Amino acid sequence: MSNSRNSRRTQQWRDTTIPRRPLLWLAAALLFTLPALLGTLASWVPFLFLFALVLKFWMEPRGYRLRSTSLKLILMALTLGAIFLSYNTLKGIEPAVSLLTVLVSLKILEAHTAREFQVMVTMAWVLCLCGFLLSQDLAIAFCLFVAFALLIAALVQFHRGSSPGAFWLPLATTLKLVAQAAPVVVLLFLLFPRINTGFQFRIGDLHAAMTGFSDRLSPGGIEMLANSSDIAFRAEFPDRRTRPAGPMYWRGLVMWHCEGLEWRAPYAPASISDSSRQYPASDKAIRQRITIAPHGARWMFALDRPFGIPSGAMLARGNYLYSVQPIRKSRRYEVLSSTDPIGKELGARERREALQLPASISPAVRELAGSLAARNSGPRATVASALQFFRTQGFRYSLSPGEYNKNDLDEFLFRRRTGFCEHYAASFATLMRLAGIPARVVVGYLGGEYNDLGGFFLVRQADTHAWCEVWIPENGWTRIDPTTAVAPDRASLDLSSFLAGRIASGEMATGRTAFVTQLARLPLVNQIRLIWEALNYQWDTRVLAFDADVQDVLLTSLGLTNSGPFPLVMQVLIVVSALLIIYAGWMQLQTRPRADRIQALYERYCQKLARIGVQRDPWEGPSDFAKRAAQSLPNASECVRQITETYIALRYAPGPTAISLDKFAKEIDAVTAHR
Amino acid sequence: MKAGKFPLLYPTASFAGLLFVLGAMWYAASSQNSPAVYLLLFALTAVFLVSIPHTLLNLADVTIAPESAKPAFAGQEVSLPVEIMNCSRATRRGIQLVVPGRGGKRKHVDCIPAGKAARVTLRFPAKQRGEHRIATLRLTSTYPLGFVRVLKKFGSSQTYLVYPKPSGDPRLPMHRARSPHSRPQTELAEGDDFAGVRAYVPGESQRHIDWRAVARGQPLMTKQFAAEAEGSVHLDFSALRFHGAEERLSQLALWVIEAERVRRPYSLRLPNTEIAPAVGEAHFHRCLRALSLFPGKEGA
Amino acid sequence: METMFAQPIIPADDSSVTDDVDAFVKQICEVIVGKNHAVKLAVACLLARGHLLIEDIPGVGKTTLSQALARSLALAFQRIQFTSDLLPADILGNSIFDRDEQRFVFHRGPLFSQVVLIDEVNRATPKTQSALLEAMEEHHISIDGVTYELPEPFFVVATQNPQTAVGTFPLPESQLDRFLMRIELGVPERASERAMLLGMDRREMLKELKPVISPRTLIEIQDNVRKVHASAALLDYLQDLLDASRQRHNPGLSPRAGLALLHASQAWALMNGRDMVLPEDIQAIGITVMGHRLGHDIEQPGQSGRTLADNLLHSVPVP
Repeated sequence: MSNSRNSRRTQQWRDTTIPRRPLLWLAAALLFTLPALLGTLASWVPFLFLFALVLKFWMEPRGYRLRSTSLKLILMALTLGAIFLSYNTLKGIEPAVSLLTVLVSLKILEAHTAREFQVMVTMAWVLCLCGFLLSQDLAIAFCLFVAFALLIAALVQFHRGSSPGAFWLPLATTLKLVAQAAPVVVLLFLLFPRINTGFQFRIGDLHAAMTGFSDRLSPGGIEMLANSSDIAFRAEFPDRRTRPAGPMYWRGLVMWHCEGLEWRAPYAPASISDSSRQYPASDKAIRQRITIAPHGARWMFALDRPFGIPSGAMLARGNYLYSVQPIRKSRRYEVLSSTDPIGKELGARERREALQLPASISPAVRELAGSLAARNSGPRATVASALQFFRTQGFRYSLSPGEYNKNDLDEFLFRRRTGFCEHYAASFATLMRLAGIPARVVVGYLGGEYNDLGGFFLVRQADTHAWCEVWIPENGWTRIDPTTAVAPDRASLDLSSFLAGRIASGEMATGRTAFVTQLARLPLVNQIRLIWEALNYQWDTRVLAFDADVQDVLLTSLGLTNSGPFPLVMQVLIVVSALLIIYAGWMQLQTRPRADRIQALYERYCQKLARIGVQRDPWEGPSDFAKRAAQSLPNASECVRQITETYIALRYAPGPTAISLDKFAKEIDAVTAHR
Repeated sequence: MKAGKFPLLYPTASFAGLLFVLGAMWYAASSQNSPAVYLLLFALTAVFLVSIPHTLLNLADVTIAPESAKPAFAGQEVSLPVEIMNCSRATRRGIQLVVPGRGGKRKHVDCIPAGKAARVTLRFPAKQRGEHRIATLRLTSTYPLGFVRVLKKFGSSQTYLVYPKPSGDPRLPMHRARSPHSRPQTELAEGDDFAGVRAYVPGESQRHIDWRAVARGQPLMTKQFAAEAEGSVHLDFSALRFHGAEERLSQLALWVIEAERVRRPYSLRLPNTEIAPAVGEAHFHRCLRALSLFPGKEGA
Repeated sequence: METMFAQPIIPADDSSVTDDVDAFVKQICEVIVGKNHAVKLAVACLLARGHLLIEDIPGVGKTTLSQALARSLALAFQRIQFTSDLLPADILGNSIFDRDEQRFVFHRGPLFSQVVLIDEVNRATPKTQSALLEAMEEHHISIDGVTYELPEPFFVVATQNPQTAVGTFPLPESQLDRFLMRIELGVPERASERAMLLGMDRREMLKELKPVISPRTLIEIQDNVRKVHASAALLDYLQDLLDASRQRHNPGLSPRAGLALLHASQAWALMNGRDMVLPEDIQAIGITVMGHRLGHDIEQPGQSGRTLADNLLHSVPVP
């Protein structure tokens, strides 16, 4: 061929440098692994990484590369030192990931052969793995799977060599591979037993940092969460008819200990014994399926007054769910709640706790509480007059009420009168206690955004809310939300919609720029956001929640766990192999040379003869072959002669022939009989 | 050309890297009980598994047809042109061809479109003189991912000749003295007058190649000089004073090249054959063939 | 090359044609002993309206073969020995001034014959060679603006000696293409040579040869050759061969070579009593038709064309 010289050049090229295109794909893949690692890497490492990539593209066409061993060692030592300086240690996952990234950067500068390219791809896969260990967020996972696909594309491009064609062709091959691999992935993911290797390691304390509210309600604590769009949990109502009609108060934890404006939950809440629980009528129970995001603490969420307890949790005093283990990973559970107030009797110990007050309450506050209680005799009247007090005395609801100390009850009640839900809840509960009504503060979430696509409510950290419960003898613990006295529509909406409404009506100044707010209100953007959230939900519930335990449940329900994991492994492998064989057969059919029927029949005949021991050379004409076959197979010579005559007549003779193809087919079918 | 019954499939070196990555992923996934890492592990496993039939079928309906290898001198390279035919309806990519056990390099063919053929020239060192058989040719491919290699063996009865390595005294023996004791006398076999050019004969000295013609893109030509001695040269194996048969064959080979270069008729006498004086390409190759097939410890 | 079947697979329309040709071949084989295949090829070349180049050393029967062909066909025979001082006019003819008629009269040269044997065609100068080859191709001669038709049938047998290099002008590739076939007779086998030594003098035998085919019949047979059926499958194979040669060699086979292959294989099929061409026919005549056309591959100097042709035939699959 005329390009023999060209191919010789590629030959040398292949041994000394890595062609540009595979390197580009690899670089793209590496870039996509970066977002997952960014949070973990020492700040200078990404720059080194990018610098190495850029440098490589400058060096490669010029034939430069990192050659000297001593230089490599020096660079290695330098970067190792730098990592140590950045972290003050070399132990743990962060320095390890930084080290790996640095190694990849140095390898990029050094690599120049086919083998080293493979090594780089291997390292990039390990980077993908690290990314998944560090973050399982959908956006990050998306980046990592893009990187994964790009790595495959890099390999395909590498093995394509200098084949002509557009740059995206390897991507097409990759997509084909991935599409074919998808059923195998699903099969393996669902059914391949998650055999535990027995070795455990903990990735730092990455998720130990608590998200969401804490067990202490101090002024300004919830306020900080008001701008957080982090997801707290998602809730589905499997029985659609039992969706609550009113505002959704998601109970988090109950605080008993009052210190004025600051309230605190018990460190180790006591569990409510089974016998003391009251079960409401089953038709009033609301079933919820909740996927909780890891927050590092142990409380779990449910609509107000849960009673059906998921496994691994207990019902703590104050009627809230409390997990046995801290929630460090995404978890899904089902719970039943009732909307009716519960608790018909208040024990002496509980009453004492629900009336506990700090000593530091000022006389003015005591006087206010006294005046609220004195005017009326019953607790309901006291509650009403307290709410009336908030409603009429010029209290304002604000996200930025300014700083309060835990003893600034006077400041809030008499002077500034500007606060957020926590201020209202805390001061209201304190006032109730001062008025002799047992009261407690409940922290949780209010509202949630409904996602049409996913059919779930999304509750964010911004939806954090605090309200009160007071003991009314004939009614039990009754929910009172003093915030609604100030901002009546807050309860029916989630916070962001509520704030958006307030900003639009000019009641509140916005923190965000007008443009972003405008953008967020565009229907298209909103739609995209909803789709993304639905995807996110699917990712969380279908993938991230499908761990070994869930798989075990699935396998048991399918009846596949009876005989232990290894038969199952075998079964899965058999199914996978069958699938691969089907692929192979299909591809074979797609690519086999096309031949007309005569030709196909003749080929079958040749194959039959080959099995008997006479192989036709591809360039052998039919009559020459017949001659040879007749010599080697004297018994079949008449048959061979017959078939060859028919074949020649069909294929080479002039004009239409009277011989039917079926007759030819029969002759060929008869060959084995002659044998 | 007939292929072995089934193509063989075996892992490549980069498969070890893949195993390492898969092992690391499995360890991480199971110890973290992390479905996301399991997903990555299974994705990589599945893509690898799916690539196996792709690799396996990359050589389906691909056959080869070696052409005749040109004779080469020992110490030079044998070049064996081979045509790789893709009879399938798909483009075949990343195909390598190698003659096993000859120390030659793998030849890469990056792309053969459906129904087309590619021609590669395998080069491997010609080590010993004689007639050698190319027993097998191996067609391999690792496309698309390079974790497994598919191997198709093609049996071949093709042979190639390796002429003895030309060495010794380049001066041609002067006259027909056949006495085994006399030292072959030589004469200057070339004059000073440029007489023209003719095709370069492989193995002869490169001193007289017309490099300017090469630069113009013409094939290799040798400049000829006049004052070439008339009369034929008799090259006699038994008249040489060397002890070893191989040395003698090398000397004779050199003389054959020299005589052919100066277009002087030459005859060759070996203990088992005798070739009458003549000149020309056919004669040249006949003489060298006789030399290369000379029975000896190294002869094939 | 023989097919395995004694009887033709599909009988030709006119079996007398085959009989005539068989008798013709048989008679020549009596004169040229032990060269049956070469003789059949030569006859095929004649039937395909091609010209023949015989490349061999002197004394193997080149002249005898061409004379035997001419006599068995009752055709006019001329022999021209090419030398380096031969001029085009010496073979084509001259215009000579006739005093009686006061005008130039064209005197036809030796080429105006039906079977022309050109001995040592590579000894003449390129000028003469090209005059000859043009006449061969065009079947007419133009001199002084007048065109003279050459007789029908017109068959040139040229010989050249491959070993004498001194003082020759090797035919250029473009002109080698004009010959349908190049054959080699070669030294006869021992038994055949013995038979020849024992038998009659060849000259005597030639004199006693009786015409087997009349020129009219020959032209008819030549017409029939062109009618031998080449199916689509066969043309596929033929084109595969041409494509393969173009891929592997530089230059590959020309379209004219493709036509040559077709016509020669048609003739061969007819001689074997078939009314259709089989791949085997192409393979039988392939080396002689392609050999001289492939022998000058600029990328593979020194490879004999016959080897290259043989490689082609042994690698291009029959579809």
